[in-house]
Amino acid sequence: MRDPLVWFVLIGLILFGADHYLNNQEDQIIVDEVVRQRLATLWQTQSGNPATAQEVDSLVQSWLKEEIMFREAMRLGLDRDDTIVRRRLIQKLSFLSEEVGIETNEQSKLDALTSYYYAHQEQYKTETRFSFQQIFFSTEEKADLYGASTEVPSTNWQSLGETSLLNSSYKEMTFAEARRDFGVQFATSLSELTESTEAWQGPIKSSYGYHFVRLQQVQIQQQLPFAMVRVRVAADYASEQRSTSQTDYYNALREKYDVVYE
Amino acid sequence: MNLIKAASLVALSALLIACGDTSNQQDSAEASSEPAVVPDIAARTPGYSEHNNAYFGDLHVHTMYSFDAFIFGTTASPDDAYEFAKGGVLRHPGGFDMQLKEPLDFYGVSDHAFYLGSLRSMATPGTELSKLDIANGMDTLSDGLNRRSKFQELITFLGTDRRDEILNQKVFKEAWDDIIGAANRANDPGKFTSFIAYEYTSSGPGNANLHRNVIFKGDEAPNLPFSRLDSLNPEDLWDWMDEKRAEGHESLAIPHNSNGSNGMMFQQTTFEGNALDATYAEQRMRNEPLVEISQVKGTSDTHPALSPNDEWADFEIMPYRIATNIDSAINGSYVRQAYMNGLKMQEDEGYNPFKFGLIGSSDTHNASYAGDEDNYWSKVGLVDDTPQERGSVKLDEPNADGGDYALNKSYKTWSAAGLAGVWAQENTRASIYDAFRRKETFGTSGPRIKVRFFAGYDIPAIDDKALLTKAYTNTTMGGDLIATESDTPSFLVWAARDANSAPLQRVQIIKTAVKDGQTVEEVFDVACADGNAVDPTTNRCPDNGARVDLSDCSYSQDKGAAELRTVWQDPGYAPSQRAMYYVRVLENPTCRWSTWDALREGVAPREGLHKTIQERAWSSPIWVTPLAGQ
Repeated sequence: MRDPLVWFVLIGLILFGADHYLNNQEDQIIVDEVVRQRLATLWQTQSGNPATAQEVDSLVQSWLKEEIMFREAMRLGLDRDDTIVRRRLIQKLSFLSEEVGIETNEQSKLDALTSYYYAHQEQYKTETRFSFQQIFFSTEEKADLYGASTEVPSTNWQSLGETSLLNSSYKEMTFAEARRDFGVQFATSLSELTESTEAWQGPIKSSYGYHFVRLQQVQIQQQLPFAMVRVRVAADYASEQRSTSQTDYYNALREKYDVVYE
Repeated sequence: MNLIKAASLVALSALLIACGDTSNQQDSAEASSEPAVVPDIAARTPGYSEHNNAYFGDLHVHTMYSFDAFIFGTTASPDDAYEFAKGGVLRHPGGFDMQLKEPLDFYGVSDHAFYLGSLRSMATPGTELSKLDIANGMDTLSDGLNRRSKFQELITFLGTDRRDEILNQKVFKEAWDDIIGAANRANDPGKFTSFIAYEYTSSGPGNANLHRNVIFKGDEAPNLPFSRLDSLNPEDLWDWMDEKRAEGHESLAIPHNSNGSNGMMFQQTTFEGNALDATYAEQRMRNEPLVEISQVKGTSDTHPALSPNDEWADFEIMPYRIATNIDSAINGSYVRQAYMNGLKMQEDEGYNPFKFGLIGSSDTHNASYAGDEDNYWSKVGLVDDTPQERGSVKLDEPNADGGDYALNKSYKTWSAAGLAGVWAQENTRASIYDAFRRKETFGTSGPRIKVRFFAGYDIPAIDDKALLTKAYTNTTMGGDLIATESDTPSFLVWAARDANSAPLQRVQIIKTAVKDGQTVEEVFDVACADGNAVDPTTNRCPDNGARVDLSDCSYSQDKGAAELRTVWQDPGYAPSQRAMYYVRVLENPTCRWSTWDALREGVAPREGLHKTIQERAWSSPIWVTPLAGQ
């Protein structure tokens, strides 16, 4: 047994056998009931009809061709350095990471939504709305002259001031709407006036001129109860979850890598 | 079905009573199994006005379901588009956030029916369409260059032949149902109106643009839209609309980009080249009461070559056929000329196929209206999302021909433009749609300029306290006035600035008429800002001295008017003359988007482009029918 030749032949035989065994494994494709069933189901979803035995055979043949071509391509390393393959794999990984951390249990889902709602209450409020009447003057002089000399009558006030394409009454206007229709200066001044069904305040300036304003009602911003905004909360929560889990997933992966900048 | 509707109505009412705030309507509606339930139609929404309010919107919006928008990188859905219109933030495919400074009152997602949703499906791994050869590379489109070339490949592929392999009805139907669903989800009577809509993307020979947007009145629509795959001939679209109207689906079509139609949009023959007749004119006007005069791909009011005496004719001219760099013929491509030819036909033949009102809209392919010069992201996604790509700023390296700017000729002529204005009693589908139908509409180049226009024999004095009540007993924009033997009509024009844009410089009335058998046009300044008076010999306001400082795009703060209004009579009026009048309102000059781009990049504005523009609004016309030949 000390003859190197014996060792050489023996080791050679073992290597040959191992290679043969492994190659057989690689070249083997098993077409079992699972495969047939999968192909048949896919066929039915796409075509709408159950596959006949003949169709299943033909599906198996084309699947075989695809499988063999795929294995050969992998064996030749064609997947490496291919941008399309890389992107597709990365995309699939991203989809996987989005699933992480999404609650499936109904109760814990509800808990997660309510705590998200309480943490982001600011997002779920009505907007403050202003209801007011206005008397318009095109210049400051005209407005001042009017303001100094006259008492606004309780009736027929609509006929006072100059006519304009603006309305004399506005109902439930948000700050953004007041800014859109009168300009930012007016909207800001309006939000600083005192609510009063009696007093005419001003004049305040807009993009058009000067206005005496009777701010009849201010509906202060209100919290919307969870039950009313549940659908919106769920969408916001899911969107946040997706983005956090993607970030967390990447950060966790990043930890595992030692990056050397040269 | 009715039971469910009734139940959700009860649930909705209970919620509304519980919170006492109508702004919560949408959330509660979302929670129910049915789409938004429209409250009692007899109830008036807050803001209702018997003299009509101005509402502003965009009826021309593409999302991920449009074949081209998808290629350009747009992944925004119709739901996203409506959220954006209401003031929400939308991420541009180029990676920046888009948000409107002021939300819109109404919006209509109008995706191309042509291969609706198909390209998105081709790019989605695992779908049947993704397995086609032409779908190769679609799931990995990256930069603008790559997208532009794939777009050219696809448009040639799709445009040359009928591609049956892509005609997957299931894909069309899913997209169309989502578009209908999104419009119904977004509709919020009294606050925000959305329309079910789509684009009929037809063209004549040589890329002659014949595109139309079809807008539906109701909350239901036909099973599938009628597209260029069904017919390239717009007359077939009208047949289809007539047929669907009889089945209860009221709609109207709005042609756009006549400027890029190579003379075909307003040609005086049928699509096949036959003579027009009264039946054609009636059918066209029944289905197309409006035209989109201004949008991102330029303004179609008139061309300097057609209106040499109109000093403001050279405004946002986009001289190419759509999606090409080929010149578009001028004759037959502009609105004012069509109005004139229409009058002439009415005079000679007794019918007028061009008696339409006006709106503007954007044609955004990013799902997002972009009508502000200083808040502009153009409209084709990753293809023109940087100043260099849209030609306002020099490239880092010379282009393939050795030039300094991007090669595409057309993007630099595009426009931060296109807003639709309507005078409607309230912000509801029914009220706004009725305004479209009676043509009480106006278009702007972006700003929210308001313009009212009346004509008649009983026009009140301009300072009358009941001005509007009295004005509405006359003819309003979009309407007809019959000449009388004894009276001369007066025209009341009343315009107001956009509170957040530049003040107004002047208001004009544009008249076209048939005189001694020939068509004529005249532009009259009728009201001037800053207390100036119109010179009666030239019919012009003096220069009001408003200027723009190009170093920072600031403009004169002490020039211009918040409102301009006047009562005017036509010095050349003759009761026997067939004429029509429309209003053009001009702002003081402001920086064009390309100047803003250059300013932000710290470079000089590109030579050959207008550095400043005068934003404007156009009213729908009023037509005067003469005594003889009524």
